[in-house]
Amino acid sequence: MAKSVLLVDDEKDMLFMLRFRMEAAGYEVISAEDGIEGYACALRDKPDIILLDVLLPGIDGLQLCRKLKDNEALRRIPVLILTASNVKDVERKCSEAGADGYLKKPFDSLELLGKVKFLLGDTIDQGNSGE
Amino acid sequence: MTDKLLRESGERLNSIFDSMQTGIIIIDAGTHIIVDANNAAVRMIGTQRQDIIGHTCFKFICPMEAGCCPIIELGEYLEKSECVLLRADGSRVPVFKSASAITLDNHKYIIEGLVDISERKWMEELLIESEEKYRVIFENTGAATIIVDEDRIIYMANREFVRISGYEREEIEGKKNWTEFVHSEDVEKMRCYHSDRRSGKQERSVPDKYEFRFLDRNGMVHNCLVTVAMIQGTKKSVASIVDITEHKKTAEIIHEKEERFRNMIANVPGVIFRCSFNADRTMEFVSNAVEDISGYKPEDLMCGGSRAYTGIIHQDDRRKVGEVIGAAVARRTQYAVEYRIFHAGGGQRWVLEKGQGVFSSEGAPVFLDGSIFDITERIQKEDEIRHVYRMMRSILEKAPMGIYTVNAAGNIDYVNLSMLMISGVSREEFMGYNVYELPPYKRIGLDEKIRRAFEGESFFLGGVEYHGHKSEKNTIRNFTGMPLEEGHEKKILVFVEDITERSRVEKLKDEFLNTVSHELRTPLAITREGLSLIIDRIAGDLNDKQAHILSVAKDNIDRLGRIINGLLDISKIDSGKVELRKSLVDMNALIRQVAVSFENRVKQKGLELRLELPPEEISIYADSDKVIQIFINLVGNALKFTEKGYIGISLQHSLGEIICSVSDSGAGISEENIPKLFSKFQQFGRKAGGGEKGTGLGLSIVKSLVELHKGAIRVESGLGAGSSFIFTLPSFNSEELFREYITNGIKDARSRDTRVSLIMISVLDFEGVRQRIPQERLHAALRGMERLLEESLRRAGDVAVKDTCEIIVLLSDCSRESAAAVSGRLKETVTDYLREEGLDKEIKINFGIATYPAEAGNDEELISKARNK
Repeated sequence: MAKSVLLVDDEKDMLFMLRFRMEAAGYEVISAEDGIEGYACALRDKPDIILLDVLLPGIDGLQLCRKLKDNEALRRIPVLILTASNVKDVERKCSEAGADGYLKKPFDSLELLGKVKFLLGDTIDQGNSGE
Repeated sequence: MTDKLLRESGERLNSIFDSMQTGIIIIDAGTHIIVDANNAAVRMIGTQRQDIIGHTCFKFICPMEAGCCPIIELGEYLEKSECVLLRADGSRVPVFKSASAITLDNHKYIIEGLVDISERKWMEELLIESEEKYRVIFENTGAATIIVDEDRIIYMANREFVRISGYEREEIEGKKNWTEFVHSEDVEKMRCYHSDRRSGKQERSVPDKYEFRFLDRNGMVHNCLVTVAMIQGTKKSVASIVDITEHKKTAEIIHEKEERFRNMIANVPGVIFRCSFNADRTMEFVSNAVEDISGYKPEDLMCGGSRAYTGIIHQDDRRKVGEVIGAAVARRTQYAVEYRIFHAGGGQRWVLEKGQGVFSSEGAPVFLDGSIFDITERIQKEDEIRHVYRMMRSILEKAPMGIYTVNAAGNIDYVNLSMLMISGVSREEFMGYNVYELPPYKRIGLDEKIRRAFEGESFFLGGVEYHGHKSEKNTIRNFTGMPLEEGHEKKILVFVEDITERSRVEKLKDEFLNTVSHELRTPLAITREGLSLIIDRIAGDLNDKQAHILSVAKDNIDRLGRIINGLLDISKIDSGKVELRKSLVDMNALIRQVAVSFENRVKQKGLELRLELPPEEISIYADSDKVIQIFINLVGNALKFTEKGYIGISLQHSLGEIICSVSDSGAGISEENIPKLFSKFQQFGRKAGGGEKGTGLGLSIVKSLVELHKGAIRVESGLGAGSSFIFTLPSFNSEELFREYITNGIKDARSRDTRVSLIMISVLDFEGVRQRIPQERLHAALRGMERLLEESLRRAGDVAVKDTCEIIVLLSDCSRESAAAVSGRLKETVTDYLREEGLDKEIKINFGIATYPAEAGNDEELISKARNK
């Protein structure tokens, strides 16, 4: 069964592109447009990996990440933060929030897929399973 | 005939006999009977000749008894002896008597010749009497007096002379030469006087009265005044000598004092005067210095002179001078007044006059006595100082920075306008502050900083949120404080910068940049992803042309991304937000690493990559990521603008710095473009470029990064002549490196309010070790040790730096206990290593630990603590 990815981004266009890319890579995609919805989705759907934008309405990506990591049931879901923000110690903030990795926007699609696969502990072949 | 002749001759003799004025008596020597006496003798005896002849001489003319005749009985010969003649009336007459025995016709006679000396005797007595009288006078003149002979022998000396001479009278009179009492330097002159006075020739040139130096028996010198006069009709002179030594001394003192006073007056820089108390102030006396001050001679200002002193006083000051003097005279006090005078030679002088009135017995002011000093220079200097002071004051006041000073008690003793503006309180209110008691100061620890500044520790408190005291404004401030030596008093000078607005703007700018970058990057990311999806043919098939067009679009999306990143980088560097994470960087290794990363692209372009690296290792203390960025930007640029030939990277070590250059055989840069090269968004020769498009920010970033490392960059180029970008970075010798490294560590710990521990690993007796072990082997062992330490210290912030014989490990945010644990672990590692190398017997290692701030307050203390443990 295909692994599921939860995308949380308030940019519909970004969600559209990511959904396209992830589905093309064989993942099942769930998406949410703000932090609260994202948390609800995570609780409900228990995705295999969560890709989080930082600047989100409601609670931001870092807060959401912390919330997820504080939840015993969700703790083990890898969180990859995607950020366009220029904050100096974004890396430190991400790791403090308990994220498993981060990528700066704009990102390279191959790099994104690589990270996702790495965090899922998948083999190289996993990515092609959906094709 | 014979009888006649005889008779005649006898008569003649009788006549002579009788006419002689000397009394002659002829006495028979046997009987002592007078046989004849001439007229003179008869007159002397006072009786008739017949009463004389036939008389015995004894008891008649001679007071002697019979048988005691000195001539007959005693056989003496008398000549001119003074005897007494008994006259017939029994009186006695003093006579000179000559007596001699003669033999005539075989009979012995005595012939006595008598000269009456009674008159002479009387005269003599008279003389003696007058001499006595004179002698009394002579003795009592009071002056030491002597009578000297022509032969310079002292004939007579009076008591006073005897007293001052120190001799006995008997030793002087008739024995001493006066020259013996005269100082050798005066003798010659006085000898001349002595003889000239007697020759009478140059009488006029011989003084009657003059001074000379008298020598007493003990050789003491007395200054004496001598008055000399000749005793008329003799060759004797009288000299009266008065001892004027005391007098002379007094006179000398007076003279000296006078001289001194005169000199004083002549040398005082001011004018000493006495003037009449009138409108003109006519000078009674004025010292010569007046000429220096006014150009007028003293006589010009005195009575009958050409100028009234008042007349040379500046008209604007005359009234003031008059008032000051008038008031002082009325109160009988001293006055001092400064005013201007006109100099005879043109121009003005400032003078200070001090003086007081001199009053008549009726109490009316008659004179003014005082002094006048030229104070022109002082006034000028004062003006200058006043001017400088005013200028400084206004600079201070107008400085765009709050400035105030604090005294030892913590009170404010100066505050400038800007400070008041920053605070928004009045000067009075601010001056009433005490920095040790002000709650907002305590809150931010400024009171403690100021207290420590008095001990010499300058401080900087940056970006502090200052909650105003009472009516003070809330501001964000930078405080800089430093001790200030003002005379003997220590003060603290505090500069305050109100950065509220700047912080707000900076915060806005940061927010803006973050927002902008976020807002730009998001659509960029979406667009890029969209293009990628198509190019990756995920959305369906694509012909080559379409794929190529989309690739170009995607490349430019990437370029836009780089521009945004570059802008953010520069903005960060410019606002000082980039912190260098310095460590020891092996430059050869770094350059090789850069070269490897460019290898493929250089080869693809058919270019040669030349490296010119020194054989020895060059390490600098720098942020290696930033240095790599510098090289990547420069080599990237070179690659872009070079179509054939080479790209070269070279490294050189120079005094205190390293010189790196990145050169190429490319298009080069025209002269007019060189100055603009490092500005933002400057792109030249776009046409020459191929491949990745530039952002116009690369060199600007390079320059900022070089300068951040306290280095410098320049370019050597010409159109078509290739380019060389040459930059320097400071290199330190190992000791400086040590220090820099530790200083930075402490600075970092201080800013983060944390601690730092230093482990110092040193080879004991390094000199000895160096002699025992071949250099190669030792070097390898030390390198190995260093590598080992680096491997064991992977944690961020723990770095090892090596010196020839010392390796230091700085453990940031590490307590003494943890440092000791780390040190123990390192010791084991090193010992194992040395044992494996077979050097454990040869090389002994010491591990020292010190921790800031628990054990040491600064770098020096930390090093010495660690070295000695």
